[in-house]
Amino acid sequence: MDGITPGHPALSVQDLEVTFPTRQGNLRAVAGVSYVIEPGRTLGIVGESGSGKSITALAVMGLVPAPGRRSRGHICIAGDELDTDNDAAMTRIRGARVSMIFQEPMTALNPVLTVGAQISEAWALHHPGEDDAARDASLDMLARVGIPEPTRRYKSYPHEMSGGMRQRVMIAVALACQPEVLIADEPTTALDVTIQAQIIDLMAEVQEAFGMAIQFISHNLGVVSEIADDVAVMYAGRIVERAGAGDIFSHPLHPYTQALIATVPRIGAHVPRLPAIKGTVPHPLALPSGCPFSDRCPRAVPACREAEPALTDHGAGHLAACFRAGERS
Amino acid sequence: MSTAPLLEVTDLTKHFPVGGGWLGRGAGRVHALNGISFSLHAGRTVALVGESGCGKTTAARTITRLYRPDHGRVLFKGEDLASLSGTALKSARRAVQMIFQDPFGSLNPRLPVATIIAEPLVIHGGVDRAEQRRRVADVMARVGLDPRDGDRYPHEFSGGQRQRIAIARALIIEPDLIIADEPLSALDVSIQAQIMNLLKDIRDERGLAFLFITHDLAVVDHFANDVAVMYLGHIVEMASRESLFAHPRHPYTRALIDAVPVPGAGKRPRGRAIGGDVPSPIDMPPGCPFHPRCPRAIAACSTIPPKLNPVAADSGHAVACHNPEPEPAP
Amino acid sequence: MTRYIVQRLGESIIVIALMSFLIYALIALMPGDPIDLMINSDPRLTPADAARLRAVYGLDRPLMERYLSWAGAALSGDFGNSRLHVRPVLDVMPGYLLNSVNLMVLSFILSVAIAIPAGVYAALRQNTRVDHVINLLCFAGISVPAFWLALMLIILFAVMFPILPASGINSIGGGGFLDTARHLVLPVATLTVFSIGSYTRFMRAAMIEVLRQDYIRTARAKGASENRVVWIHGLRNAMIPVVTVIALSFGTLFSGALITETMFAYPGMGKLIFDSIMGNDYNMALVTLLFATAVTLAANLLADIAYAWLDPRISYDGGGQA
Repeated sequence: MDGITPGHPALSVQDLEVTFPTRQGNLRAVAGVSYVIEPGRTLGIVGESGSGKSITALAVMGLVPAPGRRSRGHICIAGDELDTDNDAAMTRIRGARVSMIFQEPMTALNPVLTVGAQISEAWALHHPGEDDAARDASLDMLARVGIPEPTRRYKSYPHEMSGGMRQRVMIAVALACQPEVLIADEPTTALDVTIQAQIIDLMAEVQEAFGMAIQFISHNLGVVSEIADDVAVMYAGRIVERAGAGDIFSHPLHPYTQALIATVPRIGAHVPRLPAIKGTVPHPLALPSGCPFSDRCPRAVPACREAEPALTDHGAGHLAACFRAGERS
Repeated sequence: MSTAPLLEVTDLTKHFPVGGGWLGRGAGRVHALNGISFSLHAGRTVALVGESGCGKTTAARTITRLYRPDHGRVLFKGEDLASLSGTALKSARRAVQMIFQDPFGSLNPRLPVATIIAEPLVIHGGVDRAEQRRRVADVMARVGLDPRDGDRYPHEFSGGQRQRIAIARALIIEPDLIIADEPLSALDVSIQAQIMNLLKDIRDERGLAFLFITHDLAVVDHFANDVAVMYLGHIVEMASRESLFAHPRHPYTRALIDAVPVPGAGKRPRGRAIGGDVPSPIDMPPGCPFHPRCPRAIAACSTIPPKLNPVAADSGHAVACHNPEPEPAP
Repeated sequence: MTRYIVQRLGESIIVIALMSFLIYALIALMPGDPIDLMINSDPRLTPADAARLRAVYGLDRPLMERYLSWAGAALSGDFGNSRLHVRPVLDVMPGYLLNSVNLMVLSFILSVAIAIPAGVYAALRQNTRVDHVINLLCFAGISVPAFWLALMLIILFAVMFPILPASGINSIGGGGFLDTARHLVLPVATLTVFSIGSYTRFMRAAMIEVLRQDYIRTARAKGASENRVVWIHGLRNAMIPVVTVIALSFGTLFSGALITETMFAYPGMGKLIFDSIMGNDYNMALVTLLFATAVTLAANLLADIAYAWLDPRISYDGGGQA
């Protein structure tokens, strides 16, 4: 692929909004999200189910399932704006400039095609007329992602491989054309913890080799912490906090981030009770007025129900959307 | 411990034939469980930890007689569950209840939750309708559900609430032992803490014993008294929680602990992950099952299967390894 | 896989042998025998004559003995004579068989050629008006009784607008290719209506299920065009259950479309079986029914083989993971 135009971030998302028309009204799964990722850097997006983190990624790929659509916002890869509604244009972009890997390696590969054929296809789709080179490219990728005996494994079927191997194959498929951006949606959640560690290693390795930007989505704070340079925390379709990885864990500003960090058990931290966040994630059509977290927040005050706090800089690029950011309960 | 254990598992073995061949004469066997032994005392929690394929779920199911063991004994309150059947088995099962991983799959979607929760009472009998209703309401309140929601169906509840329903169902006949198979894995992060707190509370209130099966070491450190680490159907290390996390001796335990990501600890240093995949439980490696991936493997590891031995005389910490990590310097 | 096929063939032979006895016994248990029919048509036969005739035909011997003597003859290739056609069974059957094959194969090709694209089309436009219309047509096709449809077609195309023949396989004095073809149109149409409906519904369901799968999303994420996603990734997987169903319905190919053939007086296997049972033509009934059994078994085996061939996850060798 061509070199990245200097000066442009690898991925830039501005004011992204994704809505699903439902009988009860327009559901905003993503309600105004903005972030950038520079080449060679990793942004970790943290959130629970319903936070909109996966839909954001699908919107970048132009794969939001119908009837959802991107109702607002701009998505740019290396300065080039993507027309995500134009499927014909997007098929040239997907796999070539931005790739995505998904959570379940068990089901993400076509069971009736060999592994090698699937990687070759990813390459051949964007190199028309060069079919013979596809196999070599595929073997090369198999080796790069650490699959032993690539020539033999080329002819294997997905069901003949373990979960970790399949995820490596998925990574090979995604990187076959050396895209500028890799989006990984919970890539290690379905894997055993020792295999997870291997995959995280692998992703760091290929990032160094190819220099792409990675958008790493996970609900697991620990995993995000191990791989991300910057972290964005999502809640109810919005980014509520964004900062460098070190900062966000050492002094989280938003009460949701603080609660999320506190609620996860860790080895060696012996607390009699884990602080739990009261209540449950609200339905997008039934959000509290003002700040979406206000009905569960331990520090909510009346002002929080009146207006939605904007994402503001609290110093050194550490952004938080909270009127009482930084105060500790 | 001077008292007899509530549950004593000795040399429990379970293999499954792999299909094929004339009249089902298998082409191989899945060696799911290969002679595990441990004991659990009343009011204590033992965690069985391991990754997929280690046999922990098979262990839970074999202990509760959902599978018949091929070999070994399961002594529950002195009786061998493996040899019981019929009414004797049923009354033994009264004292052991299970909670499963999938909070949706383990509840019958066609029954209202009050019926689901009351079912153990109905099965084991001896309680009239009015008393049933009272107990269901009580236990629902205890697990944090509104008793008035008893008429609703499982799909009307969230994942965390469904797991509470499953816990209520397990509690209602006041068992001595609860076997929980990955009860938190299918839940959202913020809900996991709620459910874990609930389990801790009821455990402390009622003096329940738990056999807790999980792959999540952080949960183990939070909840268990004793830990058994499993790999390919074997227990490779067994110790109290404190001892296991402070001084893991088996290389696999060490790898498992190292692999757990810690929020805020920064980027993972490269090259520390152990390589390879879990080998197939059909074609087990000879000798120690972990030796192909083990950074500390020596010659003996590929030929002689190690036995679970205490690390020191009188120590409760046992490891099955020819070359365990050394004693920490005093 | 070879071992599996050999195993299945062995089982099939056992089943055929058992079926031969079962069918023989069932036919023998039917009230009446050929001698009764003779008595009906010739009242001058005395009971003594009847007894003598029975002895000649061996009808007074016990069941098991009669069966074994039939079986012995069958194993050496002699399946006896057809009483109704007054010729050896094996001389009579091929003609009818060929007629059935023509009918069935045409119907089969036509229904598959229409059903598969229609099913995919409906799946891609799930819940739209087009989908509803296709579904409705399928249900109509499945629900319409064959005899009624046959009658309607005959009335329409052979009576009201007499462009097609109403029955038979050849016109009197005819026999060329075109003539046979004209005679096939209405019976094929009648048969096809049901199978198109059934196969389309099946294809649609399989396709909808496949398009929901994660690997379809992966294919799109790779930059595959929607056409490629549907026809290469999707269809390849959806065909697996569909091929199995189609292979299984192969089994009906040779037992014949009884009702259709009767309605059109079309001389096929179905009609042959029916006539021979009604006419107490033991030998013919037995052989044709066994043939139908054998074909059903073959179709089942074919379906299983096709399934394993198409889906690499299925293996009959009993091995574990690589």
